[in-house]
Amino acid sequence: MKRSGILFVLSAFVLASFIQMNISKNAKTESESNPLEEYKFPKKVKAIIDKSCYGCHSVDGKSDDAKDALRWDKMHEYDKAKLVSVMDDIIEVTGEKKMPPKKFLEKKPDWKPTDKEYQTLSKWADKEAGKLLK
Amino acid sequence: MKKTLKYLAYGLLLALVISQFIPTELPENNSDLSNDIVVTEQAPDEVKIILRKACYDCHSNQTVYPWYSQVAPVSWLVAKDTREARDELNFSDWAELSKRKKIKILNEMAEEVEEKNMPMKIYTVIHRDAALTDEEISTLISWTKSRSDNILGGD
Ligand code: HEC
Repeated sequence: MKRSGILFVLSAFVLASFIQMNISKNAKTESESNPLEEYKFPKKVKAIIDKSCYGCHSVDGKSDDAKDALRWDKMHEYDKAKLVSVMDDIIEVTGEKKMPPKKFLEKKPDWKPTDKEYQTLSKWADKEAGKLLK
Repeated sequence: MKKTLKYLAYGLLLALVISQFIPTELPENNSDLSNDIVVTEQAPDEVKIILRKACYDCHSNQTVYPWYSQVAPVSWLVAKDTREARDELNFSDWAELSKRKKIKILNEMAEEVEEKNMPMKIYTVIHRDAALTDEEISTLISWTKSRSDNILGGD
């Protein structure tokens, strides 16, 4: 009787850790699949976003303000009106080179897009908005 | 102790009087309504009433300046807030905006009232009827959504 009790606890333990493992495995695969894939970005654009924007404007971002403003990894969930307004925001900030924030670039200058990259982002956003408004 | 208080009061009074001579320019009004949102949009009356009573003092060229808004230091605050508000969004220029900008502004309007960021608290404390009820908030939001859909649909 005593023995089977121990066995029971032991097997519950094993089962629980199994479930635990599975959960963390699932969580891992979720974060591994790149959500940027869900919205169709041209390769060139995606590379710029990855380099200069994604760190703040995605799950990984630390600032809630940044995440409220824009989530690249949630772009596919935005409705049309929201998408248009996000595209307009992107055109604005790339035109004025307001993003990434100046203070941040002082610490991490390699995140700064080149002028050409700013233009690429801006043109892309303009085209996306144009498609939605057609 | 009593004496210091008295001097302090005189000092404050003097500062108040002097501050009236510092020039402040309240943003000017303009009666041209040809691009005004309330005039050019076919919105339900409730929506137009909400916009006028809750937004127009800052976000249009039709600010109503009560007497105290012309007295420093209140006038400084009113001048600054009104100027910034009009720069950000001016409903008197609505019809001139691109479709893209209109959709963005409609979206932002919904977000701002939903989160109760707008109208600003400092304003609604004095202008009680500008504080929107939950019903008014949902009226405004559903209009912004349907208008936005219209524009997306080509209108
Ligand atoms: C270091 C973090 C960081 C990086 C990197 C960054 N952003 Fe931002 N972004 C922010 C923050 C914080 C805000 C919110 C600012 C605010 O509310 O004033 C923001 C706001 C925005 C907004 C909304 C602006 C508005 O006026 O509402 C847009 C659009 C934007 N970012 C685009 C970008 C783009 C495009 C890039 C890459 C080129 C980028 N961001 C890179 C932190 C970042």
